[in-house]
Amino acid sequence: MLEGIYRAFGWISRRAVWVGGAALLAAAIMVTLDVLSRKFLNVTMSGADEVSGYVFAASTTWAYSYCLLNRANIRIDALYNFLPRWACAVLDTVAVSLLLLYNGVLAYRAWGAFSESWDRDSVSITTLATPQWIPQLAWASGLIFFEVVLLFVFLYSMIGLLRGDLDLVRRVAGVPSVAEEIEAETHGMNLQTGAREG
Amino acid sequence: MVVGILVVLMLMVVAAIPVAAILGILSFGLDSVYFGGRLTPAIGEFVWDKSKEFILVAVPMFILLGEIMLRAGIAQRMYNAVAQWLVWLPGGLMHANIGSCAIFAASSGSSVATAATVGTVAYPQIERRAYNERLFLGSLAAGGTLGILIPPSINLILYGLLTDSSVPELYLAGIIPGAILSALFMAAIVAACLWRREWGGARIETNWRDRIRTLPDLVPPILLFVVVVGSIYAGLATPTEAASVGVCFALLLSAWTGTLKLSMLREAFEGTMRTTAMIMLIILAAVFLNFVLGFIGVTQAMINFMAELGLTPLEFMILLVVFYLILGMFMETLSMMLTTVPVIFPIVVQMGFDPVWFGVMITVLMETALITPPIGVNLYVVHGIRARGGKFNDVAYGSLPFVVSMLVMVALLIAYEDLALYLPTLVYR
Repeated sequence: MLEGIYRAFGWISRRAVWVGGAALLAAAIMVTLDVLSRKFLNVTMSGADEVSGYVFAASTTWAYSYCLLNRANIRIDALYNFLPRWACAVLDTVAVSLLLLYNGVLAYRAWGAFSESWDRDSVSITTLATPQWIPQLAWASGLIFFEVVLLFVFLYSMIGLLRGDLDLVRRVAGVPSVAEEIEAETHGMNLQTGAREG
Repeated sequence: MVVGILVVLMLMVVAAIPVAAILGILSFGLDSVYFGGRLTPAIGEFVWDKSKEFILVAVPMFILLGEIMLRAGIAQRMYNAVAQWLVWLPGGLMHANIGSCAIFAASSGSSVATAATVGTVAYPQIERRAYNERLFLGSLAAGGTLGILIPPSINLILYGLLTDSSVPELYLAGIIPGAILSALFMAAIVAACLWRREWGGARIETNWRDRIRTLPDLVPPILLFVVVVGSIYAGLATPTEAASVGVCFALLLSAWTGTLKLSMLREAFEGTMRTTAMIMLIILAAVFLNFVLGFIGVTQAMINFMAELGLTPLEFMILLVVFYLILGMFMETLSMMLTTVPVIFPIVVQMGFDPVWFGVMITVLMETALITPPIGVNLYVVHGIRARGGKFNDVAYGSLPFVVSMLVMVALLIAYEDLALYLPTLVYR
């Protein structure tokens, strides 16, 4: 049941990352067309920069949960690596709880920013005059989804801790090994590395 | 008070709490102590304004560009072409390691990806040509660090954001030191191989026909560099626009090499968003902390403190170099820059150093941090690609000559500011 929910979050956040990446690629193409038309046709399309900013903001918050589920958050593991496994598991759970706290405040205030724009019908002071609630909704909802996933990962690793299942804690909240790190940076490239074989 | 905050901060760092959470909670804590929590409610609007800033869009664009180039399958052919031109030097293919990393660095912002890709291509040559394994591995780890100095560098964008420095100027400033540092790495290899001739491996025969024949393999990465950096330099595009053009160029290139597939794009998106999220989570927390620190006046206190010490600028800079060398042994480099620069930068400027020059300086120090044990990401990466295994210490020892090269670079930068400032001055000032 819990494992099923964990997998479901993984499934959703992976799709969110695909959509976010595709949107960024589209933004790159749009900005490029803008640059080319400005240079060669002497025509300036306005708004490419503004829209790509929105795409960036929203795709980033929606990628946070993917980052979390892949344990890619930067942590200073100078001491961590020398600790016994149970201590690592405790620190892993504390780490998630503090991230939960920080993002909780951020997500709450982000939602506040959205509802204020909604109430006041705020628009951007540009030629596009974008109603701010649209990009802000996409952005804030990513933070809220991240908070939900954080809460789940916290509870899941807490359960692992109480049951003494240290492998579970490591798998959902631990610091990845070097082999996992390299795999993450180069995945899909089939590099023949010792890390993979070993 | 300040001491108490520092103690809590150190505890959280040692406890491997995610850096973003440390910075965020620290800013909430400081806000509630100094201002009764009046600043924290503004975090929503504040982060929104920063999140959509156009200059920051360059970060995911450069990452996406690197991800696509990584998967366009140019590494192997590029390595062979570089080798043709450099193997006559004592140390043979080790120079190709440095050269390929330098060229690869010009398209990829990630030092991990640079070291892993070039390393995987080069690794089998150690046994085949009987190279000294330690030095060979060291050259890969060191070469990979060039990624953050040679433009387009993501680190320089982040530095520019934190310090309000111009990213195009920072990019120009990185070019000459990047070239000199590559040359210093090669000099270290030559020196080592003249001292111990057997370290240099078996000779590789080459001729001008092969050199010319493989030249086209170098065109794609060099052309990309020219398009991206050239368009910024020529005033045609902002860094973000240049990065976007670079992404489209990389896309065309991968279509040309036949690697453009939906599955490849999905992999590239996953890699891009993972790294982007990882960086942005910290950046936004760091920028908010910076905002809170500004209200408290911590920077002014630090400036006054330094003034009381009465150090000359040179003494101060040497102290700073030592501080970063030690910190870099233990800290991950990106978080090292993001946490220290907001506090240290104002003092550096107060002492009369040029902001752009300091950007290059701190980047070289970060490169050193990447290959100094016990925590040096590139050491881990190069160790990780060794199919035959071995001791971690091999990579750490092999990197030592290159740490010396980096220290020489630091000294050169201090002695001759113009190494970094010549190009920016020529173009912009």
